[in-house]
Amino acid sequence: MPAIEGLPASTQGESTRASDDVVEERLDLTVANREAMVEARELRAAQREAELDERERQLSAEGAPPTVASTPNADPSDTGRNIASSFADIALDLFSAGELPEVMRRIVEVATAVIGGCDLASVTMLEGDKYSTPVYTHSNALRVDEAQYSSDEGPCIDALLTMTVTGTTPGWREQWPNWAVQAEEAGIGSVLAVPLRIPNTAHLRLGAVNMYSRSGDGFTEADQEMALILSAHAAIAAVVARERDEKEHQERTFQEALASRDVIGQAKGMLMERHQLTAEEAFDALRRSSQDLNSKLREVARQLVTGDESN
Amino acid sequence: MTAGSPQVLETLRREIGLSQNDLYWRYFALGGSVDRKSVGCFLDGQSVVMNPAELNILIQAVNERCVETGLQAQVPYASH
Repeated sequence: MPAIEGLPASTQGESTRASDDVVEERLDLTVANREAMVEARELRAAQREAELDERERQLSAEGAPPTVASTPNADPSDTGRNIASSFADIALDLFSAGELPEVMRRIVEVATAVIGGCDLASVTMLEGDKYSTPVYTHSNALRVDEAQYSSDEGPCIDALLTMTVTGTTPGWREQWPNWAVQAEEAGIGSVLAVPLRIPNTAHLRLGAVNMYSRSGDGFTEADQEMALILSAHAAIAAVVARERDEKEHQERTFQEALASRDVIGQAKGMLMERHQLTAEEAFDALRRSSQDLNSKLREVARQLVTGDESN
Repeated sequence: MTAGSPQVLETLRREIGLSQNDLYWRYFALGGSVDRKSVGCFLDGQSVVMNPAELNILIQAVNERCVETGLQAQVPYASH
């Protein structure tokens, strides 16, 4: 072994041996260090896993929804959950300030989704003595609804007039013979109509939810019960939406009337001041100008007040 | 039956498709001061009298609607 620079020559032989020992020791230490590092890494991973497990336990205790793995074969109870979820959605629609057509559209969508035999659905509304179908899932539903209105017979008309569920009996063709011909042409095999009504209120004969099936025995008893729940939701939706629309209309009318009174009052005041007129005479002057100009009195007043006679 | 009589106004109101409520709001918007119930009673021929100034505002409301609907009829105004 060559002399190592910096060491006394007399110690070189011993040093060589000692040096070999040191190298071996260092190699041992390096190996030990690596093993320790691996152990530390494994320990940290285990700690992270433990932390995650603990976090999941906490979330579960706080009521967070558990994760459910999806399976190709759904649990039959899933159907019940889906129905409940759909009705919960409808209830939410009632409180989300949706307009009547939008809520009704949701109703017919849910009808076809949750009522087993229902292939087509629509809503018949009654305004005064006029029937209309504001929403429908398929054009054939509209077609058979309108056939009822023109022939003045059919399940939804009877549901409206009698406030009972109609169309459930197999003899519906004999019950409404004229309409049945047109319904069959449209591929209807069975029908179910439920009235929209809220018991013990003035809101009677709002309309009806119409469900059509292409099958001859499309609706089961369970379907009928489901349809009744659906119609109760729809009736509430109709009343809530109508009352909301009415309130909004009243408020708008009132505000517009106040604005109109204001401008007419200003115009009258200007005429009274400029021409020494009474309030009645000032109104008569505006009225005559309105007739001469073939313009509304409010518009004549606005032009006078603003000095804008361009319109 | 005079020109601005309740019967004339009520008949024309129905013809031009205004509810009593709609007519009241038009009258109110033109500056009318009689309350809604009294206007309704007047149109129904009950014992409510409207002075000529208020009656002319009501007639103006009816006549404006006649123009909107293209109806040639116009109710003559009352004289003060």
